[in-house]
Amino acid sequence: MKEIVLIKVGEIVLKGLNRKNFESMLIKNIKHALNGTSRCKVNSAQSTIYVEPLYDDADIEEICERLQKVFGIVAFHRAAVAEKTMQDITSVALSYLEDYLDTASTFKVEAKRSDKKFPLNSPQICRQLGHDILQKFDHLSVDVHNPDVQVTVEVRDFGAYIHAGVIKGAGGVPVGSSGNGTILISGGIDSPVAAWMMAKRGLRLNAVHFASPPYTSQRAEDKVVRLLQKVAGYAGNITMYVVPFTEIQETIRNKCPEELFTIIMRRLMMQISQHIAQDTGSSCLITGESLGQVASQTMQAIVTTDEAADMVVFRPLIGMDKEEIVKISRKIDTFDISIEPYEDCCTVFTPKHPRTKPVLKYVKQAQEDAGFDSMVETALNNLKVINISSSK
Amino acid sequence: MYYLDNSATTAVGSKAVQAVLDVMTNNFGNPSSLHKLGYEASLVLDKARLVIANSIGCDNREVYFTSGGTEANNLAVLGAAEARKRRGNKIVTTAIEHPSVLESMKELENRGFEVTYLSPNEKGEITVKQLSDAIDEKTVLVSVMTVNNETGLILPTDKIASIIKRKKSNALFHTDFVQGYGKINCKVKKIGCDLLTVSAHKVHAPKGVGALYIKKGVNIKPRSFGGLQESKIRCGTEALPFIAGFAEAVNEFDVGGNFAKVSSLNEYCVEKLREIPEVVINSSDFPYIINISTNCVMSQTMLSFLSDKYGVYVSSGSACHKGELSHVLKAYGYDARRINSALRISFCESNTTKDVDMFITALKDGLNTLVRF
Repeated sequence: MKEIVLIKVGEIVLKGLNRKNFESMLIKNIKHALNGTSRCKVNSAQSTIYVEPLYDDADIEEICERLQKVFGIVAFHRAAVAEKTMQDITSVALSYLEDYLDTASTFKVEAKRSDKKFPLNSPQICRQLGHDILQKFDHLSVDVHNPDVQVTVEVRDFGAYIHAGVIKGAGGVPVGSSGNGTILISGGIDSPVAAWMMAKRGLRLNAVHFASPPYTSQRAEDKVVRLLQKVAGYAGNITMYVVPFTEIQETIRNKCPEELFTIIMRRLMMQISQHIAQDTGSSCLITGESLGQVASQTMQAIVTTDEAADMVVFRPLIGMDKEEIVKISRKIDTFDISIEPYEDCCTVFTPKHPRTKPVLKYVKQAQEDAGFDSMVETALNNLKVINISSSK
Repeated sequence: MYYLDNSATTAVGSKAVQAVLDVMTNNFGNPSSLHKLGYEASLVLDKARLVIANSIGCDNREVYFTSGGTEANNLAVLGAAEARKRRGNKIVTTAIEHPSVLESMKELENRGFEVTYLSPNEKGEITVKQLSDAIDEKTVLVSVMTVNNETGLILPTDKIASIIKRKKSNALFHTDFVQGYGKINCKVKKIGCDLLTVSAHKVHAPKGVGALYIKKGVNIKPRSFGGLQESKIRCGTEALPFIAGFAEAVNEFDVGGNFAKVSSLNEYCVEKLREIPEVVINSSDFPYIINISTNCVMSQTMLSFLSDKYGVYVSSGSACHKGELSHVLKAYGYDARRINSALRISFCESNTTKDVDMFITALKDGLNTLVRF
């Protein structure tokens, strides 16, 4: 039996004259996501995107799993293809949905006939198929309001499609349709979630990570790679820039007032990230900050940090509680990696009592006194580049 | 040597040997050490875990290395039953499971669980109906092997997940996949199991390593206690050399190609066996395993004769009995004569018709010269 996937796009249909662009971008992303699995034909017709495996032994489970991570897809159906005759529709439905019907106690049939040349109208299709199902599965009864299984028949231009149930997609808009952004990623719980959220709104990502060996280990950097591999399952390929940060952190430790360690470090991270973003065609920075979560994320601290960059900074988690963030990180499968216990650069040289209400004037002064400019330049000249694609 | 006992164990492939050697001599760090050598060892472990995960279609964090199939089966059966004991005490399994499952079941019976053992029907099959009748809402664990190690019987494990669902049971579903691994395609999601056992030494890797798949979100009770290895489900420093060899062997899998190759060898062998009047073919449905009875020469006598005089290696029931009467063939309801004279021929992809020819010649010689009972 031939199985295909019918994709329903969401917001995209509201995009007016830009719709074509969004749609072609989505198709491109779908093709990319399916790379390496069974070969498929992907095309769009009648406001549905069809994913049609080329060979019979296609791994349709794997295809569906990957499609669930493509932004821009609201929902999709895994469907069996039948010829456009009532006889074939019935026989395909009965064998294709055997497992579902076998385990259910109630069902309902729904028909959508967009090909009006088909001799039976929708209620007639429902009646006929419902009758045949009841004959074969005599333990079933019909429940039109709250069925265990809803059998749907779609009679379209190129064939009839039969499915039971809808699979929820990732929502959002296609990656790339909003431009490029640079995520500052540490290895904690928040930044991968922030990256995922902005990819969901259509940003293509690259990432900046700060490494301070020997204060931070290779394992910490590896952990970030694995986190980004998970994010890449949704966001497509990501280029990660690893910034050698040891010298700068040691200088902060030696030359700046202790209570300002964190804030000055974050300002320098912003400056460096902005340079990288500009050089790589990104138009915004993304951080995983959440208001009031820690001393460096009070409003005053964020204002002071923000001043270090001229670029717009997106903080998608700003109004979220830790619990809400954790929930998403579990959903995108980054949580278990995030909680692995490796030191990252943010936990090196943390002050005992960080200033929660830093005053910009003094912070700037302290930063200038220590003289970081040449160190920033050295760091930028010694970036390590890692290309990351989905771990699957 | 004509080695036709591949369901007992297999020769280790040369790439696997190299991998084992390399880890033992060059990359000998402890994967839990924080220094560079430890880090490099941990990379070997991660890579191997991913290879095993891909071979059964799961996430790498769902693979737990053990010391072999037996430990994995023990961990699955005892660990799952203990984790679920508050929800009920009924367990469903078959009478033809590997001893590592059956003995665990006995232990669970001692602990107060009620175990149902399904036996093959007169056609030699365990049916979906039998399973469906046995499983109910109080069942906490179903453990059914995918392929039997003595007869090659393929059990309908693909239907168990939907039976459990239909019965509104929240039983965990374990399958011992040891004899199917590398021979038939494995997709844990398609099977719908919560736990699945594989072993390395049946697939041209060293003895001493196996793995248990534990579906994400499924909790089982550990059976060993110690460090943080394998997410505390199976503590103790990982057998990294063997694990590396295991992964190397799995990389060599060619499931479809080998299946076709062995299928034609099986047909060839069955045809030759049919020409021998004494021989009854007990089963040959799974290409990799043929089980026969001569009904006239004791298994032990025959296999010593075959190996000593001709260098042909087959086995009586399974290697795990060390000569005891096969519980599997008993469950089929065979008479003592048939069980006592049973032989198992088990192939791997590198066997050829030459091996089969020599086996047939040797078997005929044995039947002609050995004292009958």
